[in-house]
Amino acid sequence: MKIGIPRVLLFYRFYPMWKAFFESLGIEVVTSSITNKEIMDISVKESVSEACLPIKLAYGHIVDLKNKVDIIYIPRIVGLEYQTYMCPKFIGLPDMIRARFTDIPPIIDHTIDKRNSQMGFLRGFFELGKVFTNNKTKILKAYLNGLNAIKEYEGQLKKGLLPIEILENKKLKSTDSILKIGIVGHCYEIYDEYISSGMIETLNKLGVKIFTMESLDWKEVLREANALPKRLFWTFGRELYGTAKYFIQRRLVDGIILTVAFGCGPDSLVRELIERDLVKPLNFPEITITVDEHSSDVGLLTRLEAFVDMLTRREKNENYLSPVW
Amino acid sequence: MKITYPPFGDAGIAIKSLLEDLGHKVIPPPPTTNRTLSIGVQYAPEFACLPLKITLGNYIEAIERGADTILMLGGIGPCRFGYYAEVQKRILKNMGYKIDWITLDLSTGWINLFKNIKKIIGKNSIPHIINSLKVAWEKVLALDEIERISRKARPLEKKKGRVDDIIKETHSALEKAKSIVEVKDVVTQYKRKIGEIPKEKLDNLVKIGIVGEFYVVLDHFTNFELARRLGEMEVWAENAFYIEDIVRIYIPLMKSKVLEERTKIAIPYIKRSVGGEGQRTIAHTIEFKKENFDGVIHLLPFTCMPEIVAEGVLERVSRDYDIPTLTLSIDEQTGIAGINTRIEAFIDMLRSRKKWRLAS
Repeated sequence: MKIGIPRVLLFYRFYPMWKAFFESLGIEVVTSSITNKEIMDISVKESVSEACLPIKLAYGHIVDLKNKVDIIYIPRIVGLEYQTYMCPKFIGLPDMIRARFTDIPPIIDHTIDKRNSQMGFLRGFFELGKVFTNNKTKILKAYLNGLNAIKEYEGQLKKGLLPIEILENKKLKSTDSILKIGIVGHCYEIYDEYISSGMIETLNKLGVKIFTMESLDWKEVLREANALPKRLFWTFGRELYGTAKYFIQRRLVDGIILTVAFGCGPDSLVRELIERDLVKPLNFPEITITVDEHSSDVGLLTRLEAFVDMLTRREKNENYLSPVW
Repeated sequence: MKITYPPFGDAGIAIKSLLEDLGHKVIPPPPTTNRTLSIGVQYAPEFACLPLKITLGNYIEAIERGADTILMLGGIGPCRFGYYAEVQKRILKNMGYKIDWITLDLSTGWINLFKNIKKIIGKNSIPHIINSLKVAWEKVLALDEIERISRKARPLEKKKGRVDDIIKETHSALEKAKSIVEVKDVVTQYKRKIGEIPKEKLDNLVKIGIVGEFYVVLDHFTNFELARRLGEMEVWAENAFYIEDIVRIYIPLMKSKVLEERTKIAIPYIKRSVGGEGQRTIAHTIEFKKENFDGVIHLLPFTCMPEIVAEGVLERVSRDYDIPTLTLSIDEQTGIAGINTRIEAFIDMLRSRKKWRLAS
């Protein structure tokens, strides 16, 4: 049996786990192609016009998979942390896909919900495993294999490797530049080359050292987010706010790039919090890049070059001012 | 303490009555106009949803008239509404206003919630508080009744605009009403007045159900007075829910099992709640079909997350249940002419469909 995993949304976070889990159960794993023009065109045509680009792309990747596999896996991710939710569109994604297509292989969805207990993760994978086998020890074994795989993956990320270097064998130039930029955005926006118009490679060519949230200490990031007077109830919102605060308050980087998908609900407010709470009071260098299906790599290049130039000049001419000023 | 609140639809009348009964000086936000909207749009985050922008405009207009305290609700997600107050707080602070916020929000802990409730009830005696709540609730029920009846009466009236005049009179009478008996009396008189209007006989009344996100469905300014507009086109536009239902959904102590049961028919399409009205939109659409309505209009503020899920599924529901739907996504750029054209075309389609069905 072949199971298809679309290369969208939380793929860059959980793929090693899913792969290990399914392979332990004796199922072959097939992923969809890396986003290309054709997938993009299908996505725009088939999806709800108001959804954000990452959600739209799910439609195209499903179509890309439909003739290659027997079943398609789309998890229903409700919450990844105590009392937090994902965006409603993540919760409803399997429903939206099912309602749209009638000619695709059956969709396997299972609920991942860690809002009330840490067991939610395990329970979700048992629900998933039961579709394929009744042998509980086999499922548990597969689950543990999955956990090991993701632990190893996260270890590599902590060392500073980027998900695309591990999962897609991209080679990035090593750089000893003193200019450091932190990218604050969801994994599916930054690492999907088509969504971000190749932001990482462009920055790499400009000779900048890149930091993303994957390389940070998670516990610290979430602790930073806890400082808000009202706790944010989106998993990703907490991560974004925490990452931005981690970068800015520890002066880990010289500037941050905020990547936001057009129409992203949670980000529309989280971005406002980051700008008003963290960026403006310190006058920290920040640029917001909004991505949608109309963004182009040339437009992005111009803006990134300008941002890097600005940071370089600041480094050269302004940084020797004493903080009192 | 001069207190103000976010209005939606006619609910302001009940909120004002409650706060005044509890002895507060209330500065109600002036009726929402295009000025309110443009103030809100100017200061709110660009991609925030429309209700955040409009309520921000409402606050600023109330502050201009002297308000210094804002009463607001908070939530636990996943809909953005739960974080409105936090964002609006920062915006008003950066604008230089010193505002006291009373945010009724369970997620900041019981102690904070009780402190905030204490601020509202002040030194009133418990019987007085209960009585005030009862009167306010009666007003909510009255407002819903007034709205529900007007939807049916409007398409039939001979001289257009008569119903709206009566509603205006009734609302101001309702504001003055002090007890449950008085409120009930206002409703009885309203019913009598509506009954006395000269009516036409329409044999082929088109019935449309309105579903969607609650603020846009209930707020007349935001939905371009859709109900009145449809009424003038001789269409009976029934809402899927009124203020009472919204209170019963969102206020913990008022929760009703009936509404949860009603949502269950949507489960084959949306398996679990996606926050906001997402799942209910589908349930109400199916309900309207079962009640023999001719079509459904789905309203949402642009980029509303739960409603996008509903929108993605609605097309399938429409095909499966054979009920035409029209989705109207509303933001500050939406023009009245665009809305008019689309609802006219939709109604024409429904009329010819109806005629064709009767003939065959």
